[in-house]
Amino acid sequence: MNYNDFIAVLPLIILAMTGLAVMMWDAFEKVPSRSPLLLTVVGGMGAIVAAVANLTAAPVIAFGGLFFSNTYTGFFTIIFSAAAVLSALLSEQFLKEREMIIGEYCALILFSVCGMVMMASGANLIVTFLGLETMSIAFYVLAGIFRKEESSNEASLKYFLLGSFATGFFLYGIALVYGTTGTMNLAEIRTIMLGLAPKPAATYSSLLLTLGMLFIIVGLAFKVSAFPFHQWAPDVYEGSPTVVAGFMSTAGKTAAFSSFILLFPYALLPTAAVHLGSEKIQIVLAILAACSMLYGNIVAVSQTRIKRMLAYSSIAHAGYMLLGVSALNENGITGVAIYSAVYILMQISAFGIVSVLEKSDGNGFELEDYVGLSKRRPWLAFLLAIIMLSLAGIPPFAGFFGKYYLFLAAINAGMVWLAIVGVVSSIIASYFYLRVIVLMYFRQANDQVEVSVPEKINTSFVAIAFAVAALLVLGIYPSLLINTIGYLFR
Amino acid sequence: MSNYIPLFLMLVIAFGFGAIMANLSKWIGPKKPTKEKLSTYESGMEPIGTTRDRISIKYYIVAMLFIIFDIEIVFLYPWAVTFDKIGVFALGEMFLFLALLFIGYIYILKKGALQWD
Amino acid sequence: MFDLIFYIFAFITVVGAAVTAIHRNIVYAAFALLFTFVGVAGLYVMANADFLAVTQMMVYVGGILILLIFGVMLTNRIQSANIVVNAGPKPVVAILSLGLLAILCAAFFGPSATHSEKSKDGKTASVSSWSNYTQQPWAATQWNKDANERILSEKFGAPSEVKTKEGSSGTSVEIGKLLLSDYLLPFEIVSIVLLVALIGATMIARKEPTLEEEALSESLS
Repeated sequence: MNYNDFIAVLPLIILAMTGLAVMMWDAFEKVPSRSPLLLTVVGGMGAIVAAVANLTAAPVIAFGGLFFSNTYTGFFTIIFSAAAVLSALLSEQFLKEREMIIGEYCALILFSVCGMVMMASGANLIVTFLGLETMSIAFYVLAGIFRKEESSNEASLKYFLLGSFATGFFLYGIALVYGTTGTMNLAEIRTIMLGLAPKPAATYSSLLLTLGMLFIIVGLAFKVSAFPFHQWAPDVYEGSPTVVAGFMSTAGKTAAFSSFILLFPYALLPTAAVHLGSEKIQIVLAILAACSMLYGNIVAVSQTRIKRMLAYSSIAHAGYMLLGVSALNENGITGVAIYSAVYILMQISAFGIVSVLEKSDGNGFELEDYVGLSKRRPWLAFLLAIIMLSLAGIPPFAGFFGKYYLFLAAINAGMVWLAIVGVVSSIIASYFYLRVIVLMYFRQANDQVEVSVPEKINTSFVAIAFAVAALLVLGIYPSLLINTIGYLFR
Repeated sequence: MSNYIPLFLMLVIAFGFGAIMANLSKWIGPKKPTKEKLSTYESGMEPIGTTRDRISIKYYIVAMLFIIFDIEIVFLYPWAVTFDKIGVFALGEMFLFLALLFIGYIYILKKGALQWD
Repeated sequence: MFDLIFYIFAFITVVGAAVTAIHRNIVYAAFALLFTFVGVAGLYVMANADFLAVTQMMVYVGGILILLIFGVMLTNRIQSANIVVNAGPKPVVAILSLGLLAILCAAFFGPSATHSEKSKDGKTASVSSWSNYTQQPWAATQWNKDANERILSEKFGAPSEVKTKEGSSGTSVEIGKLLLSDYLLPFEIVSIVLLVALIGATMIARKEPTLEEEALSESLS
């Protein structure tokens, strides 16, 4: 381990050390205080700063081919850390109202971000797998953090059982890929798949390799809740605490996508792959993407509870990003990266607003509860309206540019049908996103007198406002984001 | 393979010894059951339900924590067989590994997970 | 002798797994898993993977299984609750598992050599495919040893030096070296994974202090 290696993993070290500090603070403090939250925010910011430093540094593969450090990983590290900071800020009020201690929660968030960073930077399948496990275990616990609520327990158990099953598939896929290619190093796998290095003839089997890729797809598709592996998502997102659901459905998903990109367009299916089944795998990915987009959006239309609606629509968003993966080209990768950033901002703040409006007794999730919100909480309604417009992909907002790149990628890859499916499902989606706006602004609640509640400026509100402001800025100046991403692995 | 033969032998002997000892008294002991002998002891209670009863969740958490430190030992083992060959740097790495889990240990101690009551 | 021991362990493993899958009483199923774990540990030894065998015995037999049985016994009145282990419609399950078996068989026994011959570089595979090894019952072992030697020789140069000879200390030394040099990062990450599991365990299973206890501790502090 030399200096460069150390710098490459510095964001990871900062996050882990902050997590440890928060743990210790939580264990030793007598009276619950805000300090864990403060530490988390500082640690997240520190990780962002370290990652920005890595963005500008020369790309390296640290630790002898285990850990990428380049613009791609730097970008994802920044957005994961930002998601952690936003979630921590959003949770303070939420957890305090429910008499929960924030310490453990923050520690788990930080450790799960460690896992995500590993997934986005893993240059070796072992690191990717360990990252996936770190993230997943933290999520299983976070989903069940309200131990006395049956729905939270149910969500945790369901997620744990199905999630570990999917992890098993992922691991089996890794084993098969290792068995056939003889290496777990992604860069080496890439050279083999490109035909630049000889295949290990004794162990190479096209069938087993294809099987391994399919198993890896199953494992990751579960983590992003793409179509046939989505059944857990609505129940888990609805059952787990709203702030946790917001974090899981955004940072967790985009982390899985970050390793999807490293595994497929980079390592296993580079564009000029000589592997026999690569077109078939691409078609499999494309079909998963198309089904997720259509299914998520169509089912979301019929939902009456906002949390469930967001959960189903998150399946559709996974579909959009999977479309970018299946394109297997540069635009697709850029699109996934942009959409990841935008999606995190949109979805975390959407769940954040739901968590602010939610009542401690578990009510306040029905779409009917949002009728006339513009009168009661004008600021929140305004922010939610912007988020909904962005989620729907209406042009001046940031959601549009992500989708634009993704659909462009599909067209470049010669899959016009997939782009058409994407556009059609976006149109379906705009129905239920705009319906929320209509309910908030153009419908009167009949039974109660509308009283405008002045907005308290607490951490939740600041976090939401910040996220929405970022959405607006990125929507108006998308070049900020696009230039930052640059080109992967230059 | 040949250096595993003692191990296999030990396995066979261990299983065999256990099985024989557990059943020996059953096989060679005299058995003259009468109705009185088979009934419950006179001042005892009639058994109700099954013998497999619920156990406390405390056992479970202890077992979970045991597994976590068990896995730590699994990682200590390959270090222990090589530490003379790989030097001081590896010792530092191992200490980092142990330090992280020691922090975890302090954590569970302070959180009261090991308190029985 | 080798074959005999192999078949004994394979038999223990398969029968244990079958009982685990089929038995309707969850307690018996849990105990049958013990035999599977031990059998697999034996198979690891046969495959010259002594470190894995130790891990298997320590973690799975000594830990996970105990946890599993605790878990079963934690559940209230498992006999009276009459949990029926039912894995869904039988034809579907049969088709799925047979399909997986068929794919795996096709992959292992199939003409894998022809695939590599067809590959773009047009080179015919000179090294024999797996199907040649499967003539012998210890096929997997044989392959494993070859692969081990190949990987080790790539890592450490001359194969004669590091070859895992019979009677040597086995793979643990090599694993130790790799873990603390090349695979240092995953090694340290594992401690974070364990830490997360630790927080999870304490959080989910620890007793929530009751109101009186809280009041007591507050008055004390």
